[in-house]
Amino acid sequence: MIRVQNLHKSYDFNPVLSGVSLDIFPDEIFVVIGKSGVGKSVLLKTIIGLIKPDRGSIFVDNKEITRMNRKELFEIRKKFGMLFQSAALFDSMTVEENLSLALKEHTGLPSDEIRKRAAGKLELVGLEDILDKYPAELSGGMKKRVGLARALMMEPEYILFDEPTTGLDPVMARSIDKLIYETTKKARITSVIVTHDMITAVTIGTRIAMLEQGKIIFDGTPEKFLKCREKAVQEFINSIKNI
Amino acid sequence: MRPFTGLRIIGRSLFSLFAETGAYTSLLVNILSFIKYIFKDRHLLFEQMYRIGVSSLPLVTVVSLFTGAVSSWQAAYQFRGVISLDFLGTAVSAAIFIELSPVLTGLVVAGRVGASIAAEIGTMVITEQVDALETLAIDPVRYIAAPRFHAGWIMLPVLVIFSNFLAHLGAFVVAGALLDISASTFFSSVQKYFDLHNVFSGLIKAFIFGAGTALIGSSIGFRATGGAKGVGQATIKAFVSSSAFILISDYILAIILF
Repeated sequence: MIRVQNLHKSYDFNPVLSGVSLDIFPDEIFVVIGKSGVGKSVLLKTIIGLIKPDRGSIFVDNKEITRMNRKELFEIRKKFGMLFQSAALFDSMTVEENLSLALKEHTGLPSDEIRKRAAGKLELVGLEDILDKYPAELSGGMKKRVGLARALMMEPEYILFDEPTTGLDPVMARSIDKLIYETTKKARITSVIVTHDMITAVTIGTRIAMLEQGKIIFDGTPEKFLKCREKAVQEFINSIKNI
Repeated sequence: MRPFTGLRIIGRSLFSLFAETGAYTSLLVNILSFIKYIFKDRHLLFEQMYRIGVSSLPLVTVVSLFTGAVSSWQAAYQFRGVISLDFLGTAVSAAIFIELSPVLTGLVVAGRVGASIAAEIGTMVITEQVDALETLAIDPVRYIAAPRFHAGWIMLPVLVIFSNFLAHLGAFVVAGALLDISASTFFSSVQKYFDLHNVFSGLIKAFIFGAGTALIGSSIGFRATGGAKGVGQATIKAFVSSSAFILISDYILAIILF
């Protein structure tokens, strides 16, 4: 379980997060939505310890990560996978090297075993025969899939998704949504997705929180979200209705 | 003009100098804390040694040959009517060992490697690859900066040894072909006043220049912000800072070593 308590973060005296509190329960697909630049990615990166908050606490499995040293933080991160907005694949490495890196670093598994697992995870995300390719040779959708496969390699308990459908065509975006839903449900992974894609939020989210002006203004099921009368929430819902 | 403008500029420059020095020192301490991983990460180290050392050979070859050649020609010009050309080898050799090879090879590596380290790491920061390493529980300083730093201090002295040889060759070719100095005269002149201290002093300089260039490139790369423009600025800053570091530390080392 991830517990976020009264989180504050400012940049150059401009508050981005102003007292965010959340509980993310096991096996949930928890979606944080909000406009661009509202601090969703900052929240996600704070959860995994990439950004230090100014105030507040984050607990992962009852351990407070905001007070951890780097060694302890790295231990906790082994429970996490993360899919970045740009996929953030290492461009000097092949797909196989991208996928194998964490396992080579943290386990004593033999190379053929790691290669087999990499091929298996790629198959899981619908890709085959690309182990020897470099990220530059892949399309945007393929990069996201490889990013997801890399996040799955360590068999994490939690996966954080930063705008997983941004920059993809609508067909590919829905295919990524389906993939996230199926892979995380099958492996019983707790997922946190930050997105401004309403379709992603209401179709695969089991709970939705909306971030506005540094605060959570809504936290509930997709059904309750769609019925919410809050002005900022309505603006978001209307954005799909108006299409 | 606002009052105290000059003081403000001096204050800001001093603050910036202290901040930069602090960033380099902090990264150096961090890199040294990962020294125990050097064997585990040897594949990364060899990759960087190849990149910094072997890939720099063509440029170092050209620079060294012509540096030796021009120093021979210039020394002969200054000796004319004052000192016998029999001493040409001595003068040129000392200059090559002490100053020309380490400084010029250092500047070549600062331009070629220091700047590319900053660009590469800067791009990794901007495209979230450094964050991705962090999320995989791999320390970016250990995985990215440490191999480059160690490759820098290992390979620059090797390049300087190579440069010493080629610069002497360049000097000898000019001495023999254009100044009519025989091989035996040239090399006996080199040998007569040969001092191992000069060679080691040059190699100590190379060690410091190599470590400094890789450290500065890495530190500036890690602090790159603002997309492609930021990477471009980081690249320029790395080249300028590494070059300034080489020239200033060369002066300080000259005082310490001689």
